[in-house]
Amino acid sequence: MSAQALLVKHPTRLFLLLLLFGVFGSRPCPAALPEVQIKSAYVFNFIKFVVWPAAETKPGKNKLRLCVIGSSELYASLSVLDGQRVGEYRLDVVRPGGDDRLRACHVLYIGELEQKRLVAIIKSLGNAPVLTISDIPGFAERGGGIGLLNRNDRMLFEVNLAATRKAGLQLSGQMLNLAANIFGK
Amino acid sequence: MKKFSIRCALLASLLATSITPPVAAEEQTWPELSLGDLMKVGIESAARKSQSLSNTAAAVFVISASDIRRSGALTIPEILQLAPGVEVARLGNNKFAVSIRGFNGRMANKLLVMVDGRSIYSSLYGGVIWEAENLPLEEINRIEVIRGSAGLAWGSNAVNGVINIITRRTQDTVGWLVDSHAGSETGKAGLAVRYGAKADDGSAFRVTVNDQRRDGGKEVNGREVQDFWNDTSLTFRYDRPDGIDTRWFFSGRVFDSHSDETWLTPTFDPAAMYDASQYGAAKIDTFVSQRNGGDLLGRFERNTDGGGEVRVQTYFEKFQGTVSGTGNTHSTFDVDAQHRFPLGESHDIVWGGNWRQTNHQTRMQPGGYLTTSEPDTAVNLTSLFAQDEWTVLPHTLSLQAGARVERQTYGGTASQPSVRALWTPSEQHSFWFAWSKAVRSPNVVQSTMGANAVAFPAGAAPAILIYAAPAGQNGFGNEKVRTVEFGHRAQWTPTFFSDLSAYSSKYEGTFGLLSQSTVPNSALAGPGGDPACDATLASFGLAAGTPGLCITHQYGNAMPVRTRGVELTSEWNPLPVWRLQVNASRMWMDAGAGTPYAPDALQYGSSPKYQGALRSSYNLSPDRQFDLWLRRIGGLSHADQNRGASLAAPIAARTELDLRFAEQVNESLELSLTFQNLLSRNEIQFHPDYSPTLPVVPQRTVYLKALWHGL
Repeated sequence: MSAQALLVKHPTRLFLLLLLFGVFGSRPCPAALPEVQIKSAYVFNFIKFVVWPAAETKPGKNKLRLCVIGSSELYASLSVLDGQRVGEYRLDVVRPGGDDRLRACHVLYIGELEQKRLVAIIKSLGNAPVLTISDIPGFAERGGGIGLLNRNDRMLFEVNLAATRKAGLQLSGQMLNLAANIFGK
Repeated sequence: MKKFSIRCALLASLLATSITPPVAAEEQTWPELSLGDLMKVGIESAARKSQSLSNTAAAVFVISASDIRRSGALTIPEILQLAPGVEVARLGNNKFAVSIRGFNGRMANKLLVMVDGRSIYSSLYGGVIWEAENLPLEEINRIEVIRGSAGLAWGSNAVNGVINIITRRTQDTVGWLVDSHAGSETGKAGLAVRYGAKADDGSAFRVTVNDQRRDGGKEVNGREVQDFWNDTSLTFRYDRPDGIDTRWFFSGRVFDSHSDETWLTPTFDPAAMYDASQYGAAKIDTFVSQRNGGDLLGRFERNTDGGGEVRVQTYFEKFQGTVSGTGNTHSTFDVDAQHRFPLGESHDIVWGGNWRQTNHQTRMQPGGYLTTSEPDTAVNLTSLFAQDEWTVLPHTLSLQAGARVERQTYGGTASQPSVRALWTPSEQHSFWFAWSKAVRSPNVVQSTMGANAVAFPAGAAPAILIYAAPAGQNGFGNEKVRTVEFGHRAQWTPTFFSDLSAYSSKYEGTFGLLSQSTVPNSALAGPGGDPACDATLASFGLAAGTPGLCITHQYGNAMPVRTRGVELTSEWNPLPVWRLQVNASRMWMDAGAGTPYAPDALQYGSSPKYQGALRSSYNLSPDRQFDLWLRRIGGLSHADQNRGASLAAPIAARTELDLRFAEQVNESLELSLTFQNLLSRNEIQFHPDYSPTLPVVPQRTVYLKALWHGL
């Protein structure tokens, strides 16, 4: 009988194991999650650590527009957050129709499908207060805000401060401390 | 948060006590994860090709850094076996033949290979001198393997494919890394030490010292062959982002490679012959091929205000090689610029140009196997290209068309147009089609060098000396190919992916024998004999008064060739901890049908009709990996299918098995044990071509590797 079946048949053992590892488990958590969930969780966390210019979001009143382009998978995953509160904001998860509507986003996630138009999208945002996030390789180096990168099957992030500064965004120092790389300091 | 940690621990315990994988969590807990947790969570492997790959109208396969590590391979040619349709054969412990879609050879000249945009395709021989390309494997970020013609994007010689080796950004290689191994045969010993650091402004650098040693193999008859390969290199890279819009990148290397080689050079002197029953009229000539050199590359990239990107890259390279008294020194200077910009809502334009000059100095050993008509020669290459990608229906249909016009010293002017279409009816399926024209430019050896070979039959028959004259004398120009391809990629389920491609290529004017002329020596024809032939035969040790013939072969643009084939790659993740990959390919080749030209055995019988591979990557626990790699490579017939003649001894099909066990001992140390070539039999994989190398049988290899990284 496999260990798994044993555990299912004997809930007490499961509980004991749970207790044992919950209490004494000293090794780092090795659990794995699907990539799209890790990316979604990152996006959700970044929102907590960023302050938009005062005119853009009035806490408690305005919605925070979280836009996703170039990845229907990530859009589907982030849709779970639609209508949820993050601190003072209420999230509105949208898939903007045209490039002219991107400036109205507070957060813009650019999926791999838009890889070829990346620079054009970044340029079209100008100085608009949009936090751009993407998993496209070299995103932060190429003028994006926050890039997600896969390093040895762990997902890390890097920040281009020159880009977020240009957008008038404030990123918390706590978040920057965890960044794998910071460009444009 | 607490809830998650407990579940993590449970997963760990399950994985540790049994190889039965854990069931996926039913509830979505990702919104509860903090930034700190996220950085520790592993990414579940998925049988999913990256979106950008599915959106390419070409047969592309990407080998990732993790694939490279888990393959257990120690050289780039061995790594390339991971990609479907790539033909890799070992001619010994230090010699490889690598090609795509036919025409394999040690100097397979229809495949372009680049490292970070620097061509390592030799304008001297054509093909890649793999003995000189020993990039530390931990530097590689990924290898993109493009099958099919890609002359529009990459220029000449991208006839049957392009391999782009892309190194890691320095921002991703901070700290120390020691990659060492020891074992038998090709895994004898290796040590690479890397140090990388980054600055506050986001710039970073790294330096790597790499030393690899491989033992010699054996002849079919069991005799040891001097076939070792020692190689030392120093590489560096520096990346510097500059503000929001600009990036700089510099890299370089110096290397020194010594690889032993044993040649069977022509001789008529029976006393000097090595093993006449097996190798004919040849004497053994063992020497160390020495190759050293260095290169420097700089790249500048900038985002333009119109939403475009400009890229300018330049490199300089110096190479010196000595093989059996024949020396070649060359230096290359290359400048490449390209500009990409959106035009309107739906067009994406890329245009650019390239200029390259290579100066060759070649010195031959007098009276040797090779001769040259131009000891000093310069090869110039200039090209301009433009392409438009038109998004007809966003995310559904796009068309791409463009052309490159190129001028090369030997090949003259040629155009390489291409038209491609990509149709993505749903997120799960994409179909693509391509038509393209590409050229293979003549190289220095084919254009200016000649080669001698002898036959010394027993009995009264005359001794024969064959001299292959430089093809440049016959106006040898570009080889041309037209290719039609199509492909289908499908994500059948979240855990099953397949990628199928089919192609048909027509080659015109491939290098081959045009005609031959025969003259007798004085001993055979008396006063009608040719005194020059007497002298040449004597220089190869033919005793005076022995009858002989001198045959001169004229080479040039000869053979029309047609190839067709299908390639399949698929990936299935039966369990989150288990990944299975199956590759298979089949090729049909028809050379010289309906023409007077006879195919060259080594050129046309040298690719397997089929090959397949199964790779299993299993994580026994989060810290333990078990990898199995089984390959089956079809035999090489070396037969002229149009005439039914056998041109060289056929080579049997082979099955190869590699195994690897790895254990992550702690956060910074990974130990692994790799077995390679476990099913090896006492058979050669490939007939030596171009150089008269003694055939060597690859041996079984086992090695232990330690990979350590720290800050």
